Amino acid sequence: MERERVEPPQPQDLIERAKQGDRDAFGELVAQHQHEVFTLAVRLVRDRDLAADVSQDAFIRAWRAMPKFRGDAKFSTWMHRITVNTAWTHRAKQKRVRLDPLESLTSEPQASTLDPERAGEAASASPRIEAALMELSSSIRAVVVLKDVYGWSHSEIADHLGISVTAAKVRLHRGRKELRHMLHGYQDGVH
Amino acid sequence: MNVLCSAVHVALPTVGEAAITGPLAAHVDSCMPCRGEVLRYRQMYRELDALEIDSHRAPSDLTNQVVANLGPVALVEHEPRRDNRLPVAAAVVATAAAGTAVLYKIYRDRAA
Repeated sequence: MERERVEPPQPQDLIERAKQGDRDAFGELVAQHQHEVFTLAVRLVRDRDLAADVSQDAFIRAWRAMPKFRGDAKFSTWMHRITVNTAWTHRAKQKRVRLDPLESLTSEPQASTLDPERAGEAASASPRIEAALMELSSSIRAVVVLKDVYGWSHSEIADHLGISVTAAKVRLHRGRKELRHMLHGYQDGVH
Repeated sequence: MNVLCSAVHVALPTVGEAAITGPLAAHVDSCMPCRGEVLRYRQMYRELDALEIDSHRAPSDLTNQVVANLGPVALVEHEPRRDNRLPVAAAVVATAAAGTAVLYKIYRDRAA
């Protein structure tokens, strides 16, 4: 006897139900997008525990804002924006608590502050480039990640990180140079 | 390192390989170190572009944690219905006109 195939719910159907307040539908959306949101959070805040908090907060913000989701962008794109905003809110809170001076544009890569075990976890999939990204300071890393991995425009990045377009371009230039030197060494580039 | 080498080194992290055109492209063709630099940046951009967007596994209880903490959905702020807008606009205009007429009458009485 042929078994009846149960089709998984379509994303659009889940979104419409979640907009009406259906928690199960939203839970399904969370299950579908959790790794994507968590990956972006890890790349932005580096720490997996903090990334889990950021992901949870981002989904809860999304749930509250679901009725306003118009579907102009894909749900995943919308979640990325919320995740970036949430990560930056967490970062600002942490900065207020720790008065961390390392996040200015003049900061150096934080190699000495990176817990090797955490770096190893963070660099699970593509060890070389992912580990190199994790060595960048968070303000520079965010710009490189959003531009070169997620394909955001300069103005989108500037808007979401609360910086000018010029600052976004400067950080991107600096981040790419640092990455290139981390990946290939300084000697290669000298001639 | 000459001026063109410097230009290549500035252009690659700013715009990427797309900036290597015209005189810069001709220079890169004849300059081994610059050609190497182009290849290194090309590889770096490819690796960044190839990064998976879901390569980190979320904690196994994340979905449950989220669902357990869902509060009420925010109420949608309804825009005023279009068919209500005309009477409201008419009322505003009428009130403004009446106010102007009263002020004009007071002004005329005082002037007389």
